[in-house]
This record gives sequence, structure tokens and C-alpha cells, in this order.
Amino acid sequence: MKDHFERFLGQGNASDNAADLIAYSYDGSELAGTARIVLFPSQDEQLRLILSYANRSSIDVIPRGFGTGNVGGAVPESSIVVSMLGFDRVVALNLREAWVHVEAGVTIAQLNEALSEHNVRYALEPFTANTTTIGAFLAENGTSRHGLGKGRARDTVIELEVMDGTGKMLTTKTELDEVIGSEGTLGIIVRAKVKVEPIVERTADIIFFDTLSQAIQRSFEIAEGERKPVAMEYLDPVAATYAGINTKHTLIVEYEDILAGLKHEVYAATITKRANVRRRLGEQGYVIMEDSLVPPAAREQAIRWCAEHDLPVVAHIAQGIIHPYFKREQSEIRKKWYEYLGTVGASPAGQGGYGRLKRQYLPADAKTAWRKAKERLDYNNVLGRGKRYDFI
Amino acid sequence: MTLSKATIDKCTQCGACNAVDPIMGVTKKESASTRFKAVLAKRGEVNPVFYLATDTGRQEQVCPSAIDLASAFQDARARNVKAGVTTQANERMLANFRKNGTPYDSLTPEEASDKPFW
Repeated sequence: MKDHFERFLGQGNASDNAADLIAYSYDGSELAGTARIVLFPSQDEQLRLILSYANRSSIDVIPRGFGTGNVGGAVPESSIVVSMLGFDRVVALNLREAWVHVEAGVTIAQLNEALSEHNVRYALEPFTANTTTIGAFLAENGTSRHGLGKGRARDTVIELEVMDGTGKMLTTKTELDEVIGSEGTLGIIVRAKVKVEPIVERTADIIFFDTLSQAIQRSFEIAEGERKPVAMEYLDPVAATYAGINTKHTLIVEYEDILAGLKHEVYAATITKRANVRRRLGEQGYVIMEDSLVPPAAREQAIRWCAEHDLPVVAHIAQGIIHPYFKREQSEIRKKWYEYLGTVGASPAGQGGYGRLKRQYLPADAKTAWRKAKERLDYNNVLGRGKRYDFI
Repeated sequence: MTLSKATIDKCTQCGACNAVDPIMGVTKKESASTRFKAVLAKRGEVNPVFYLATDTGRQEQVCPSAIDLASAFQDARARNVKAGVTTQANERMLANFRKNGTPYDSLTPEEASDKPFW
């Protein structure tokens, strides 16, 4: 198999050595699978030939960025693993029309570093931007704290170049809704034309509350007010304490205007403290950050549930994305959390998809739509087999 | 405030270390990455990858689990040596040390004690 792939990938770009097979058998979920071979393409035609082989041989393909997702989306099951990090070019920037054409393996941090020379940015920059590739971000329909003002990945895309499961290259505006968020199970995102925006200064207000109810109520009022924030972070008293911010329920509300109280260095220092929460909680043993999407009516109750189970919480609160932090030994509580979310109409996939770990929680209507798209775009089911839900 | 560092068994394989790993940055290969070394170290394995000099200290700074990676990888290299796992480059380097000495020869044992963590 290796010889076959090296013929068109070049020497060193197809590997079945033991180190690579182990290294590409896991991702950030701690699930482990088995890689048959690891491939490092950098051209569309190479990708097409890989998918052609997969369709002929019925061996499935797992596309992969940095492999830092925490739901097992990049974990192979006796699969061909395709690293997309070789697709690493920023192809074109059009400042007049405010878009950048970028390949899938470029991280959001790399993209924004390149864009900063032109005083523009890709608006959604998660705290994990250093390891989040554009391809993976779109595949998950990810977002960041600035999603409150900027939406989700889907809202930033103008056009997508995606190779479907049959090896056909689609340059599409019409199939964006199917492919984005499908976690690499319908097509491999190769390039995208995404919106950029001028870099304007961000400022923030920080507000402290004695009770959770007050904080949640205020979050709704601010989100519905005339002055639109671009981000609203909630930290519970435990998270706020370890972040070195305060000991109360805390809202950090960001704006793209000059009216907020925290500006320049003070703003930057506050955001750094917020960014460091994961590390600070990790030092206390809370090393697993969970993900969820909770409807407005259930947010207060969900955070209260976490407090009752000794789980610190950070949330992109106005977006309903709640991140409780778990200790390793709290795996049973983690399962209860997933079950609890189902009882309040919430999803355990806020930003990071369903993958293998959460596939049983994919809603029935999403399964139906996905299955229809699968029959058209990947009828041999070679992409992401075992992810989201078993097609066969 | 000095915080105690966690041992390698606390690694969740999140990959935050890879974001600041200079070798991963160049090779773009997981099998040359800090996370890969952490996974192998957690399993107590021996492997030549532990000789890749990626211990810049940045990986520890960004690790959400605050793991003492330098100690874990030093232990892993010691296991490599005991098991006879080496590389041609290492053997050449050792031969040169024996022949020409090392820059640390003039240091006292105390002064040289933290050099393995560099």
C-alpha cells in the first residue's frame, strides 16, 4: 500500500512505520484507534487519487488537522489517515471585497498573523487558534467567544472548495450548509474563501454578581440591548478565583467601540487571565474541558447542576456555549452531564462536534439530513466512518 | 506562587504542547511532536523520538495539566539508554565527547545538575 501511495505523493509522504501509526491513532479525546497508513498530500490531485483508492478498496479515510479535537473526530478505525497540514498556503487576499482564500491546513493563528500585515483579521479566533486549522474549524462549524457578534464558521464562508467522498472537487456556495459542520464525513475541505474584517480595537466591561441568577439575567439584558457586544464570557466563582479575577460570578463583555471601561493594556491583561483559565483549572486537577450548547431557558439550571457536582464553569454565555471542567476521576459525572443535557433540550456539542465520543447524541433530524447528503456526496461511505453515526 | 507540577500520567493528550513545538512547526508530523513523546512516556515506552530536542520550556507553560514534561522526557531518555535505544547521531556525539570533552567538563556537579533539562 505504501508503494502505491508514494508513487504519486513522493517518498516520505506515505508512512506505515510504527511511530507514525501510533502517532496518528489518537487525538485530543484520549480515544485510540488504528491507522493503516498515514499520508501527507499537498495537492488536489493527490487527494483525489487517495479517495479513488479508498473507494476501490473500501478502506475509509480520516482527514486530520492538528488532531486536537476532543470527541475522537480524528481517531481512525483501521483507516487511511490523511494529514491536511500540507495544504498550508494563503492563496489570495482581496481587501476591496474583504475576503481571503486560504488552504485547509493553515491554522487560524497563522492566518491572522499573515492578515495582520494588512490590518485585517479573520474574526473568529478561538483560544486554541494555534492548533485549529481553518479546515477543521469549518468542518466542525466552530466558533469562538466572538461568535456572539460574528456568528459561527458557516457565517464567515463565501465559497468552499471541497473534495467529496467520491473524489470529485466541488467549488460550492450551494452545499455549504451540508459540508460545514459535517465533521469531515461528507467531504474534505481543501480551501475556503472566508470573510475578513478590519482590525478595530476591542474593549470590555467586567461585571461581578453575588448570585448566578443576577449574572444570567444581566447577560440576557446586555445581549438584547442596543449596544451590541461581540463577546460575553461568564466565569463561575471557582473559575474566576483561579483566574485571579475575583471571587464572584463574573461577566466579561467585549465591544468593538471605545465606550467600555477596560481598554488597551488593561483589556489585554483581562483577556489573558480569561485565556489562562484552562491552565489554572488544570493545575487544580480540572484537566478535561467539556462542551455543550444550552438553550436560554436552561442556562442557569445547567450551571447550577455543574456547581452541585463540583465542576467549575466558563461559558460563552450569550451563545449558550457552556464549558464545565472535569477532573479525570469524574468520568461518571461526565456521562451524567451528557444525559442531563438531553433532559433540558441541550446538546453536548457546542463547538467541537459529535465525533466518535458523542455520536449517539446527534439529533434525529440532523441524522436524516446528513444521511441524504451522504448518499449523494460519499455513497461508498469512505469518509469519517464511525463518526457521527454509522451509515452502513 | 510556586505550583507543583503534575506527572506524565495526567496528560490528556489535548495537544496544546504541539502548538508551540518548534519541530512540529517545521515537520508538521505528529510523530515528531511533544504530544507523541508524552503519549509514549505515559506508556513507559522506549523510542528514539525522545532524543529530539524539543524541550524549550514553552510546552510546559501552555500545558493545561501543568505537566513536568522535562522530567518525564529525561526519565524516558534514561530508559532509552538502559534499553540500548540510540541513534547514529547520538553515537557520533558521544564519540566526540569522549575524544574532545564537553563544554560542561569545567562545571562542578552542582553547576551541571540542571543541564539535562535544557
